[in-house]
Amino acid sequence: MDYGFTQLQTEIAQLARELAEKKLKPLRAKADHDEKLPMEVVEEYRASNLFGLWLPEQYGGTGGGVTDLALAIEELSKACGGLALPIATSALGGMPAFMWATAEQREKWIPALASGEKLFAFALTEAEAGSDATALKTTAVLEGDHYVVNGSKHFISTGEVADVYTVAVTTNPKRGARGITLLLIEKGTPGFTFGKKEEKLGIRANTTYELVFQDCKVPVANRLGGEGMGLLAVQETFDYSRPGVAAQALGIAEGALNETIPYLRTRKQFGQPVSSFQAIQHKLADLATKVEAGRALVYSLTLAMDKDYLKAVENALASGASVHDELKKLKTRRWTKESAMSKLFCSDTAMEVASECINLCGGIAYMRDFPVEKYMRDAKITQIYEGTNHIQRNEIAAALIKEYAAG
Amino acid sequence: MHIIVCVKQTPAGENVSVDQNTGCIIRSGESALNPFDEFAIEEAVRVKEKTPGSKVTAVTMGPPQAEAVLREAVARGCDGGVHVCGREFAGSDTWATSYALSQAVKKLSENDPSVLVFCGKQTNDSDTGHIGPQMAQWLGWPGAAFVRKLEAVDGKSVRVQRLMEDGYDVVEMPLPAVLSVIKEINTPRIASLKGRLASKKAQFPKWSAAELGCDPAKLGLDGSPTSVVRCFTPPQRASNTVKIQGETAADKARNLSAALKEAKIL
Amino acid sequence: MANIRVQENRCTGCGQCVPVCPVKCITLGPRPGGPKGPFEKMAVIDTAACTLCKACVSACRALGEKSCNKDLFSAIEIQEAAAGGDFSAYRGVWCVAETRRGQLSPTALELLNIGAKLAAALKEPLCAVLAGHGVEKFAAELAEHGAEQVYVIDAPELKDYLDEPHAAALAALINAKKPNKVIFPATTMGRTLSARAAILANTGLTADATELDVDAATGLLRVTRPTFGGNLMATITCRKTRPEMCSLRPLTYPKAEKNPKPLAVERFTPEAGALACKSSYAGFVSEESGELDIGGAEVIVAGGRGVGGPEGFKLLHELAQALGAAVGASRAAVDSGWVPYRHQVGLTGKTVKPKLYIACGISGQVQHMAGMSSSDIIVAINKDPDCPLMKQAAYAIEGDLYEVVPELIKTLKNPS
Repeated sequence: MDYGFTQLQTEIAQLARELAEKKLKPLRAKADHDEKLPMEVVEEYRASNLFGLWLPEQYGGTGGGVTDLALAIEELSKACGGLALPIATSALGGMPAFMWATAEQREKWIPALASGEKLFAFALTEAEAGSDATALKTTAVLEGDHYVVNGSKHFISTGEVADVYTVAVTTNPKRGARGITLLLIEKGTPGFTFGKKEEKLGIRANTTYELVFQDCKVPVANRLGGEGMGLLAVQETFDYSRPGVAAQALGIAEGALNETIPYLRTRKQFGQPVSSFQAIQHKLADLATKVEAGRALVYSLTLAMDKDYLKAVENALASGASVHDELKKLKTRRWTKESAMSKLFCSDTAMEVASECINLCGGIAYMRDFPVEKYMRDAKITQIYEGTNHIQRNEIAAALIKEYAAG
Repeated sequence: MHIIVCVKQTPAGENVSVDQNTGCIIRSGESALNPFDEFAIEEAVRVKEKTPGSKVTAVTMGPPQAEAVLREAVARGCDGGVHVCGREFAGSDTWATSYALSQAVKKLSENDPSVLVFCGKQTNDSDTGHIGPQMAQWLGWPGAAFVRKLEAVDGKSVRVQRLMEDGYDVVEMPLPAVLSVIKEINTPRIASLKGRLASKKAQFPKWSAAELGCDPAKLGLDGSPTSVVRCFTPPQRASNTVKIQGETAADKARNLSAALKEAKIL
Repeated sequence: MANIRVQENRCTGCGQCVPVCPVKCITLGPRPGGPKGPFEKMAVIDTAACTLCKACVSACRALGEKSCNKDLFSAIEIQEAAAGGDFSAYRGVWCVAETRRGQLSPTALELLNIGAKLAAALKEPLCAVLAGHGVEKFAAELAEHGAEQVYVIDAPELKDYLDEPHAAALAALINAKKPNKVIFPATTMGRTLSARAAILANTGLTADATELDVDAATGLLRVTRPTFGGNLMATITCRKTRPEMCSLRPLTYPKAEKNPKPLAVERFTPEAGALACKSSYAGFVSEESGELDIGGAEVIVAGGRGVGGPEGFKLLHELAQALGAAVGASRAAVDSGWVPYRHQVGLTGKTVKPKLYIACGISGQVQHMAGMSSSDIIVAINKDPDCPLMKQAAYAIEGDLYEVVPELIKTLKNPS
């Protein structure tokens, strides 16, 4: 369904669909098998201008918002949720960089983010700080004009491939959540290395690495916002990025159906196409309805979010202040609850749809030659990253209770 | 360098259907860019990207709706396009079409010898492959068809690999020149978002026969030496297919081998 | 200027011309004279939009040929400038004999085969043309296969094939000797050379013919060729100019039998400077694959989308080796990067005519069939018994090629 997309957004979806069909599908099985991110995919995204969908034209983007990004991620994920990731992870790492950057920092970082010349990634999770991000142990100690960073980050998507990492560190361990600060750390900075490459269940077409910092010197100019503002920046980022995960989940669900339904139409058992059995038909109807409900939630959310976001961006470009400050000035509401709902609902839907698709196709879909099992493996991560679905429920409930408490 | 790419609007897709009653192609489907032209556009844009100060202009000849392929060319990276359009061109065969297009190329390349023209190998509706070499001849320019690789190109000359039946020839020529390219030459990109946006806004001048200074006697149906006298659906290959039977794959393989031996094919 | 019109009295308003129009310029409108019997409407052509492609003319005529009422259909006509000129000076059927790297191309004898038939129908001489450097030695072979006259243009500029001097040489000879028909091979060289020569000789050209004959009444060369990717055949003539020229797809006709004629060589030297050339030949690189080329192979093992990946082609190579065959491929397999382009059979690849063509996992799209349907014997191995190739094949095996092909290799290696 078209939820009132602009012509540009329709164009983005069309472009991403072509890329998915012509470029991703031929590569996905090998990338999944080899657990490698083929760089030609990143080249295609660069050449197609997909890294700057949510960034202003002034910096080389195409001036859209979260909707533009979600549409691209959804369409690409229909072919492969793993190969779609570089766009999503660069946006995740890039969002705090763009929204919290000063005008000067924007000039320095955003053109390369928008063109995709530099891929961004986001580094929050640590061995002992997963859902409880406030427990993070990576420290940054101020020494003159730079910080000295020590510690390590786990499970970093697009790790090693990405060029710039938005890293959550603590600049004041005593202050806990209020001691968290975001730093941009470039690949190649002395003292910054990559540790273990993870072997994963799904999204194997994306690299997941450990980041290791040993006396890594990072210029103070690379700090986003003030010291101690990191957790707020992370939370705000998730408000904007979780619909992207939801879109990825929807794409995976739709991709699984796109493989399954044609198969059910040609597969004959008991003398008739499997798709002619009512039990199968009703299951398909339920799955497709959930997917469309998910799309309705995601795109009504992103279209609403984008009104505030685009206004704030416009004001920030005019005033020279950060996008975050302009959002504050607009006194816009936070989208934490709805954003969490979108990821919760869509990721659970994706897992259900992909798993049911295997049931519907039968034995063939359990085999790796047939692409459906991969959708199930890829769907799983959407229930986990950018906050597990338990955390999403916490967020939703907390917001709900707060609403009722306020009367 | 001015890079010119000649494109045509043709019936979309490969599954054109033929009306058995009239023996004609049913044109219910959409029209699209001739698929062979995708490689020509891609190569033109690649040359532009490697050559500072160059630009790509797409040229098409066809009815008003053919402008759509110029938009597609811009979406894929061309800088602009011109549309050779008018009643006087209607019914042109390859001789007359190549004449009209060569007049357009001539007009685009006035006072600038640094011109490289790309064409697709052929169109998917008439499959001739004449237009590239014929344009080159009208213009008196060197050229090559069946080009599978550009080995070197600068503003003055080009060196290409030309696919032959037994391998490939390497041919060099000064600019201006006309090349027809085959699909082996590149993998066309998907039109970028910015290209798509630019294509929506692009304006394409329409050039008539008079503006091109064409000799009217060389145009259209009247100016075309050849004409189609009959169309028909290809006769089906008579087939009395023998289904090779067998319980297992091994049985089938043995039975096939026996049948081929019996028929004295093996 | 040429124009198109619908004859009201012949048009039934059946509307069959509407969907065939590529520019959608035909609608059904009221008859100017009111309804005529059962026919309420008639075709109305927007002449400003019409491209004179003749699709509607052809459709209406086809209906006319089938109709028992000869007063109806064949309603759309195009008025064209009359063909003019006295062409009596143009005589002879010429076959352009391609040579390459010191060899006479087999297409030369294929052209002489059909050329002889056309020449006999016209009662005109059959001639061959050799253009190159050091090529006169092939004249004897051409005479031996029926060429009554061999024109030889020998010049150092023609040593290697370059478009400009070869076209100039051919056109100079054509303009000087005025042949009636000229047939080129539809090879890389022939297609390019004929295209340029047609401009220089100021005459019409039809590409890639698969059938040639002479219209008994007019003596016109009727060139039949596939268009629209093999979905449609078109017969084309060249009424207005001479010579009538065409290129003929290789392997369309068998090589000419021996039919020795006295060797009559006429050397022709183009004017000084006529062979001037801006392009230059910088060398040849042969495709060193160590494999048989599909172009001339007697047996071909070909794979398509159903092969599923490059590994499958290893299996087909193995079968090809057991059979002494070349390996072919459909466009789907080539586009997927499983095999190089030179293996591609079909409209956008090569035309082949082996004695045995074994198609593995190829469904048989019309574009593929266009390149191999004249093979003597076609064997299809496919999981889908209903795909076109399984129905066109002489022998069809329904099954998984990954199961059948290894067994076939085994059977061929151990015939017991």
